[in-house]
Amino acid sequence: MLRESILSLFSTGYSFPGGSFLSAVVGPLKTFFTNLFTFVIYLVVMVIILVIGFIIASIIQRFTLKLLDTIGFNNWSDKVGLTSILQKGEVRIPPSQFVSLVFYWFLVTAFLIAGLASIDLEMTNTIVSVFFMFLPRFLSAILVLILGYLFSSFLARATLLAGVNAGLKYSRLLAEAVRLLMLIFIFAMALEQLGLATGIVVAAFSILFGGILLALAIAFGLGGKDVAKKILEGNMAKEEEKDDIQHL
Amino acid sequence: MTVDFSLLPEQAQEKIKDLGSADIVVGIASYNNARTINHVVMAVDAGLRKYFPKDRSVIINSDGGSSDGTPELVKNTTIDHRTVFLEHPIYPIHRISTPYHGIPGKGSAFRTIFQMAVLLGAKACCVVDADLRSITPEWIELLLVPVVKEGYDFVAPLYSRHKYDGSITNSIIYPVTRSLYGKRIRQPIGGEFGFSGKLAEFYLSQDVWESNVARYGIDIWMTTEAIAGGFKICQAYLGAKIHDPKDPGRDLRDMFVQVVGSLLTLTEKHYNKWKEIKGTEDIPTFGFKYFVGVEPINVNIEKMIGQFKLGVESLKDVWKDILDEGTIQALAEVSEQKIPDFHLDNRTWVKIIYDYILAFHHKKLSTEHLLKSLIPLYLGRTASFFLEVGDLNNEEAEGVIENLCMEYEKQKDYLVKGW
Repeated sequence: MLRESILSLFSTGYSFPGGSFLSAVVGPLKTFFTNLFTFVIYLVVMVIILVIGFIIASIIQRFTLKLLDTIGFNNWSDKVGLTSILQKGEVRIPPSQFVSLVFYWFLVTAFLIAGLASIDLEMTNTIVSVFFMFLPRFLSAILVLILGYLFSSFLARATLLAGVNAGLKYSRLLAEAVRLLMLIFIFAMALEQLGLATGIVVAAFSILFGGILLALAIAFGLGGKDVAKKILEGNMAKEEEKDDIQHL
Repeated sequence: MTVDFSLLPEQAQEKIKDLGSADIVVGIASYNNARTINHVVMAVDAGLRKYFPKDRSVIINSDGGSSDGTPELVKNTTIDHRTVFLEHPIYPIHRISTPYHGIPGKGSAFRTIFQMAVLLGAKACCVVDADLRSITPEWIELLLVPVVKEGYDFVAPLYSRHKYDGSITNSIIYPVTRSLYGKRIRQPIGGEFGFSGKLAEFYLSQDVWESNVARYGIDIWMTTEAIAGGFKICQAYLGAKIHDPKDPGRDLRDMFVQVVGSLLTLTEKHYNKWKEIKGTEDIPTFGFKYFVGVEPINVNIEKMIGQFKLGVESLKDVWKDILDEGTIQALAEVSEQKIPDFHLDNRTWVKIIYDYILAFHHKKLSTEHLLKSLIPLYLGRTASFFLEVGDLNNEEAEGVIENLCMEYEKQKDYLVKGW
């Protein structure tokens, strides 16, 4: 019965939309293979772009490394504390090598994204547009974090030295408090830069920062009034004990 | 050399045009020195009249904006010369009191004096502090005669000072300068100097007037540049140096940073000159050295040691970028010592100073932070020195400083190799 029905299809000259049965089978296959071929070509283009990316990234990494070593970037990093930040993050390679590697992977990622763009699919196009939209924010957030960390270290050290030279016994505590406040401030700035839940970040930062300052003010105002009195009295007493040395 | 007239205040420009030229210029840098300026001007005036009656002399007061009438006192101070001199000077001694331009500080005041000296074509100049109580007319003779009659370019002062006085000079400036440049100039930052017109021109041609040289760094800069520039140098014994009681505005931290900062900058600049110098030599000394009593000085050793100990407790993280582990350990041990036995030895102290010079050279820390982290160590060393020389007379105390200088010379190779 079934056999007859099938044979009748061929014999009665039933017309398929777009042509005969053969063309009905070959057509989608042709389209499929055409698309597959196009995709393979795009894939090859993407791989070529990626390979070129690896080569260019590798050249630029070497060039960056040489340039940074020539200008004494590692010494500068030691001086400003970048080396110690990296070491704290378990990065045991010299800062110049670290920066050159960051460049390398950034370029590889950029070429990968460019390669994906060549495939021209909706999904890859979305990835590419999101990447390029987010990139400036990401880079500026990283910059804020790095500069902020360096600045907080500088400020903490300045506080420590000023405190020690003024004879304040709690200089270290004061310096660490300054560092902590600065880091909170910088972290909030970086998050805001990334545009992540801006409202929450600002509110949380305001509450936290304001809370700390209020707590400090209350602590100094109430809890520390006797200490403040003692310090003032001590300073007044010390005025009388001043020496007459001409240091120069 | 051409000096830019516009750098000088208008009133000074007018005065210079009126005077035309001068043989000798004496500069007095002042800031609120009404209590002592009278005496200083009288001594300078008398010195010029007595020892240089045939020269055209000008006294220049470069003032930092005093609010106590110092400039007026300079102009109006009078002296009855009939009671002092048999001979009247040929030329009147002019006095100019002018504010200076630039960064407020002693160096900027001196710059104005150099400019005016050069514009007046002076062959010899000297500068004296405005807060001196022990200056006599003979100081002017001693500072100027080596230049006028012996052809020297630079005359450093030599004083009798209390063994506790001049502690930055004794523990850092004198021994480092002597060890590096090989010249035994005992008071490289004394404050009173004689110099030739040629040297004044040289000073003026240097581009340093926006740095610490514009402040308290001027003294060590003048001395070091005179040595490194190959000028003919000597020193003159002036007697006792007694200042007006310390101005509270002269904060130790600022002075320390400015003076030692200048020393480090000069060390960096003249590396090629000092690295080759081995050993040290005396320089010609003018004047008659005599025994002179000095005023007693109150010191608060306990407070100094307290600040040293606070530094040891708090600054280890900063020091570990500058000093080696052994030195930090040695400092921790010193901080455990009680007052009568408290002692920071010469070897450790000299290594600390050389390590700081190397840290400056290798830019391990910002200059201000580097120098401020040295202050607690300096106070510890000063306290240790005071305890060591407490029972000694001034000559014996000088022997202790000599031993320190020898240690600096001994360890100089460490500095050269570490550069």
